[in-house]
Amino acid sequence: MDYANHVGKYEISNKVLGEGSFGTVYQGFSKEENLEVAIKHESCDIKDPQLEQELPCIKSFMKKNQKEKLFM
Amino acid sequence: MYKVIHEKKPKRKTLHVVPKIYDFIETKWDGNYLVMESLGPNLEELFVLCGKKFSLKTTIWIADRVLEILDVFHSNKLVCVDMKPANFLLGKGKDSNKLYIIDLGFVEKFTDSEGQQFTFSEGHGLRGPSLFASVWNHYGSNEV
Repeated sequence: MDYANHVGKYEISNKVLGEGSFGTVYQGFSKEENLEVAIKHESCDIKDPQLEQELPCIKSFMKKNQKEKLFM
Repeated sequence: MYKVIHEKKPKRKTLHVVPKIYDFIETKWDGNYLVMESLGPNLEELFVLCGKKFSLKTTIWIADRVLEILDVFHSNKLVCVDMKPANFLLGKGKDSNKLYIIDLGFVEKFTDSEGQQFTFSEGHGLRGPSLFASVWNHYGSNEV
């Protein structure tokens, strides 16, 4: 699998995992941690950005229910 | 009696409601990126994979887990507008016996800053997927 793009330390493959009204979810990989991830991308010209709304919601869940470090 | 049952009840297992978030990267020229845990198949794919028939045990398990997830949402005073089988995913590897919910872009609080529940109002237009929307959502009323 070829990785075309990078974002931070993550490589983004061109394999699409899912698509919706918000944008696209790509498969990604972190070489540093040898970890497969899913990367949700939202382009900047979207009308009402959802990711910014989604993040605090997920954060609140993780704090209450999983008690794990958010950014590892 | 209730007290006894309540005391003997084991501590609630840690719920796996949402996938782990590893990073959130904002770029000015290319939009935003949310890096999260990679998960397994969603319920829609799983349904097709199983020959469009779930066993009774599977059905009850899914219903139980979905209700548990909804309970977490509602006890946090949140309502999930975008509920559909494609947004419920199984985990991967050792977590493949857990159910997660993804795509929380449509999640909203149903109370205002003073803790009062929003009242009924109309004229919002359809939100979320039309296939699984309630009748009142189609009429354009708010779901919160």
